[in-house]
Amino acid sequence: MIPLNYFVIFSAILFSIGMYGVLARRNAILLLLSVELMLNAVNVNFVAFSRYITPHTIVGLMYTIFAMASGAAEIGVGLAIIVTIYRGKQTLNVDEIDMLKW
Amino acid sequence: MGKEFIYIIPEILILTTATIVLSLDIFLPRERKSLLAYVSIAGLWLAAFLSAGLIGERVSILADMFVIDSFGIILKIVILIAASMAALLAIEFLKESNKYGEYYFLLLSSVLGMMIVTGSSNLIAVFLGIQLTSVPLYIMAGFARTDVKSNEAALKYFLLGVLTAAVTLYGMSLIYGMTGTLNLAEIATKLEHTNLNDPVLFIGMTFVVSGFTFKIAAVPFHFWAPDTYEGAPTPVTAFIAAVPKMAGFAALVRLVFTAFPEFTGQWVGLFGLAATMTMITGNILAIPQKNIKRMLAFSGIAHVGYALISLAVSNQHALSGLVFYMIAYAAMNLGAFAIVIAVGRVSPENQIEDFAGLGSRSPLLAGAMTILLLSMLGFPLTAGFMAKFLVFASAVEKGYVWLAVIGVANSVISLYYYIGVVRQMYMVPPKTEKPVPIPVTIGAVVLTSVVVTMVIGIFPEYFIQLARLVFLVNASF
Amino acid sequence: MTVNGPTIAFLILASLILSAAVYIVTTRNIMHAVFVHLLALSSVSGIYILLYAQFIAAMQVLIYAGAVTTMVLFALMLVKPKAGMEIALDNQQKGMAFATAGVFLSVLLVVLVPKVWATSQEKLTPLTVAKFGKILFTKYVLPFEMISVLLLVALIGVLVLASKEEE
Repeated sequence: MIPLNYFVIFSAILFSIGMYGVLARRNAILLLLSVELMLNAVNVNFVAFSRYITPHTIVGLMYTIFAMASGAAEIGVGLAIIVTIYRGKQTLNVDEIDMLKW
Repeated sequence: MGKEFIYIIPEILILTTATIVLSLDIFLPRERKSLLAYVSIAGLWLAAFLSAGLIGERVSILADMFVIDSFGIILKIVILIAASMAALLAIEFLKESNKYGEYYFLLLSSVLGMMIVTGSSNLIAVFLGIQLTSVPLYIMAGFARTDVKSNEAALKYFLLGVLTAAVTLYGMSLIYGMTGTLNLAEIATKLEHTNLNDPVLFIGMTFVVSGFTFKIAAVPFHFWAPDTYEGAPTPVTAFIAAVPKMAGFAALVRLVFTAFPEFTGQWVGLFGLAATMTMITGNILAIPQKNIKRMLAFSGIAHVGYALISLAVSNQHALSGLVFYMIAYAAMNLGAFAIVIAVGRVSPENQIEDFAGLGSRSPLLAGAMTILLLSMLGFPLTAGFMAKFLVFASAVEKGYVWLAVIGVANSVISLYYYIGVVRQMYMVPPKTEKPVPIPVTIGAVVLTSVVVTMVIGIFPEYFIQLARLVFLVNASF
Repeated sequence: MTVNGPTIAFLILASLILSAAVYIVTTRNIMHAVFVHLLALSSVSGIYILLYAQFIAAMQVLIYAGAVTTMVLFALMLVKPKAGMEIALDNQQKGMAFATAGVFLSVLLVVLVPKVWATSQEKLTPLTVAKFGKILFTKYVLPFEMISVLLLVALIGVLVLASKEEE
């Protein structure tokens, strides 16, 4: 069996890479992709914990399914917001989206 | 199984109203669509009455996903009534786009999310409730599609929202790894046998708590608030400012008291620090603001800071103070934003200068605004005073005099910017002599909130009893 | 360190996903980023298979590879690909971002590496979809209903935001 900590540490690294992307990117779509990486890291954590710590219940797996579905809904809304903002400003760079101060 | 559904009739009713609104939208002729607003408001009030019928019940239903207790029910009623006020405010705004069906569907879905958060006893339900609250809000913030500022408000709220959602989820995954459960009560049971000094637990807890404090816009997770408040259409701002914060506080209370009761001693540090930083940041940054919506955003942040004191104290008195604070806060903010909407119809820039001479242009609005601002300031005989008094008193009682002192000092700072608006209204000559017309719907909200603010301030006993009720029946607190 | 088949498979998948992730957050070509993202997310389903969570693996492919990537590609087409490509895709705070994420990761690693989890000794067995379905519609009926409302909200919301003006 693969040690549980392999998964947990893999997930921590993936989460941090996603976080770097969120902080460093300025294209709104790339920001979304980075958030997706973070959400996937979380899901790996949940599945791994669920299988190793409570194999007889499936709480963590259920959580993963709900997190995936709500993540997909979020991304859909986010892309719609991005398309709308592009119509108005012709840019996707969050630094240029600065009518309001950050 | 069948009997359980009696307890979620208010939630089912809101969902039904939302779908009715969405389907009616197709059949109503263009000029009659504002009817949908009244359908929604009727649904919200009916749900509030039905919830009131459940006061005193204490059950856990739907496989321990959802609890019915007085704390949840009272917050639910406040959320429903405040949301009905916010619904009333949007009628004038929607005349232009005529998207009544979509708007009220989103508003009701968001309210449904908040209702579920107030009663959730499982992290899955808390998380999905928060998602269901937030996703409609992102869309509503961008509802004025042709307005670039509104688009931006939506994008910023959305990006910061999903980022915190990811962080919250990561925290939840660590807590799950530690305890093997997501049920709040079971987490508490499991933690009794665990080493509480485990850093993994601490990190998980911090992440989850930070995610929830984002929803209430506490420092350092407040960055979205000023921009979103300024850019979003004002009726949406009124809703975002007044209503979802109650759900955020409910989630925090459930987490702190049900899942982590063992940590009570440590909350003073965490929430005391957060409260102090939130009060100071909100009040200091409110002073230089020229835009009234930004100013109210920072003042709202400051109010969250005062309310957070009650979580630092975290005993029964503090929590009934918190419920009282939420009622007062919702009334004051809905009224203030209603007045901003009325003035904004004449001068759409929403600058504080636009209030110049309001005392002569519209004495009624100016008078109402003065009362609401005095209440936010914490002037005696208003709801704001009683709310602050209860929270500060609970801090003193528990021996945290320093928190109360910081709170009072901050109220003094806030005098500066609240009085600034009053000065504009009465002392500065108007830039324009244009009168400010008051549409009936907006007038109704202003009147209600002023009356509520005064009644709570002058006869607080009844409301204190109501807030106390929360915990009399609730042995676990 | 146990060297066996699954562990080697895990290490290969993990390094593939992590390098794909690094590519996504550093590349200058947004189209490449989207396709590498697809690769990374499909490989995550491999991780789920190693964890005997076949159903989740299938959902991962369907939702992320199928739905999310397609949506992102659609959005990219709507905003014209050049919109994201003209200039650097990074902002000025790259150093800050690196430092923040680095500190964050170090803290996590310091805490997580020595952590011994209370693992159960039971052997992993695949879960049947039937069991999943049963629990989904009994114990988890509230979250299930909430998700359905949330998806309806997203549907309506996207229509409100992105549809063309009626005139």
